[in-house]
Amino acid sequence: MAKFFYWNFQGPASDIPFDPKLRKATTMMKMVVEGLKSLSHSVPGPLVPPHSVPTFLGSMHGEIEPTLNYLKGLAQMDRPRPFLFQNSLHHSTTGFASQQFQWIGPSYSLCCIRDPQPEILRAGLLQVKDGEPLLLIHAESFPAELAAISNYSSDDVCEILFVDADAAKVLRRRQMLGSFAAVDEFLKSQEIECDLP
Amino acid sequence: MPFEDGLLRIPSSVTEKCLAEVSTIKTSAPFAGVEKNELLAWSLFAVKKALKDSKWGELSSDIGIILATTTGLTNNWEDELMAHFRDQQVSGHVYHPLGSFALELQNQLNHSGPIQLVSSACCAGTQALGMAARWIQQGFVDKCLVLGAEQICKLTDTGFRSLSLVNGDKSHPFNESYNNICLSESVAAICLDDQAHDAKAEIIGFGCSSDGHSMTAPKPDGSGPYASMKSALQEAGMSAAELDWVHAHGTGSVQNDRAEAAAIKKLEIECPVTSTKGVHGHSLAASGVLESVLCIMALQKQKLLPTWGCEAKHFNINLETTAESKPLRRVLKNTLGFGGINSTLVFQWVDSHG
Repeated sequence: MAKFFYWNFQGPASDIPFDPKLRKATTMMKMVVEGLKSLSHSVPGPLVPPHSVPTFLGSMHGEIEPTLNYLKGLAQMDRPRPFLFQNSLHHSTTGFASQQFQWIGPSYSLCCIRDPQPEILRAGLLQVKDGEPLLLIHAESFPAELAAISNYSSDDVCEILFVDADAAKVLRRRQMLGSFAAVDEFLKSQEIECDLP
Repeated sequence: MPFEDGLLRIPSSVTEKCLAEVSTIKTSAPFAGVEKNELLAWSLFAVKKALKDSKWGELSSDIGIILATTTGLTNNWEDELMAHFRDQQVSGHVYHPLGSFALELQNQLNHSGPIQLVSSACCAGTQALGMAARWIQQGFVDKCLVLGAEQICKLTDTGFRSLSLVNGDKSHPFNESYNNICLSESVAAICLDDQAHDAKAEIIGFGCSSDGHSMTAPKPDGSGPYASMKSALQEAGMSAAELDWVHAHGTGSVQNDRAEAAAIKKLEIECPVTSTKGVHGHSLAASGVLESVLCIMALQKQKLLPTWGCEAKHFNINLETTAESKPLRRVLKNTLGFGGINSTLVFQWVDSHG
């Protein structure tokens, strides 16, 4: 029986009750880790050994929050802060999640260009081989401070889609591209077992 | 390339040459000064040269583009943002998303086919090549152009210095007397086409792994790069003993070099191992594409590229320090990145002369 899991969050990230252990993490890291905790609670197996699910994390703005804070510190105090720098580099959220959940499988950080979720889904479906499950993550956290002086809004978004090998095969056969919510609807319509949190 | 205070930058004379070669860069809002943008000029020059060498002509819509960069056009807005934080007058945009580099490049190239931007730190280049190979294998595109592009910006320059990884010296890969990365700028392009009659090399294996260990340091036992290399060799259907050369990531940071050497030893690799970062520095996401180009050129010349800057062999691997002419058929290209990511390609020489 094919299985899949979908988790989504939109709104101010401050609405999510974060684990106090994550206090030093960026907003994007916190959202991703909380979403993945829901996944690991509801789908026993995919994130426990061998921890090798191919993972694709995509974002349009990447780690802009620590980047902004790093450049602010540099501009105002001429003081580069290494901790903010290591979190600012693209792949830091994927790296952080892999550290939290001890992933040893392939992980990809994608910078989305126009339409994040279809781009992430396309990348994942083209890359995994038959018999492989797939973990897709779309996360955005855009600081209000930067939104006020640029053309972007400050919504926080995190959506996670896990599909097991059978569900991935269905999606690949149908060349399914769309939002994670649309994939969720499609898989439900196929009467594939959904693991809701 | 002029070396200054731990950095290797592309000189302005090269930018001018690129700008002259690529004809006019189209001006398009919101990119003020786009017509003189260095990263775009270098990238368009590299694409133009790659298209000419591959005899593809134009970039039609059935050709995919996969880009690898960690900072893209950050150099073009970070000064404005910092000026804003200093309460100074701001004349340009304070932010562009990383994807704006891809959009602008596509716009300049009049390309309407699929495009992807990979930003997996220093593994982005090799991942982009591995993804491009899969796009073609899966029939998603007929051909794919991979471009690695990295320009030094304040974020990376000051950031790597704050981690004490850039100390003003050149890189000395696999030399424990040094612990230093030399940051550099580079742009490199590779055309992938499984129908090409005059192909120079083929990708026969691709592997990736995560360390699940630390944000900046690789797992010391090398289990991450070991898994990535093993996976690439498995896909290539070959053993480590069948490799002729390993072109290592070899940044010159002791933590990187120790972990990578441990992985090489664990795989029982006996062929020569080299890192060329002592010559061209480390251009982060672009390094995987740049060094793949070097590997392919070396396969063509049947002459491996030695490790520069290694005065002492500390790592108990078969580190090659001289440029040797020898039969080369299969080379493994390795990369390791921040966030504990590893990615590996195996290239095989295609002898077009039979």
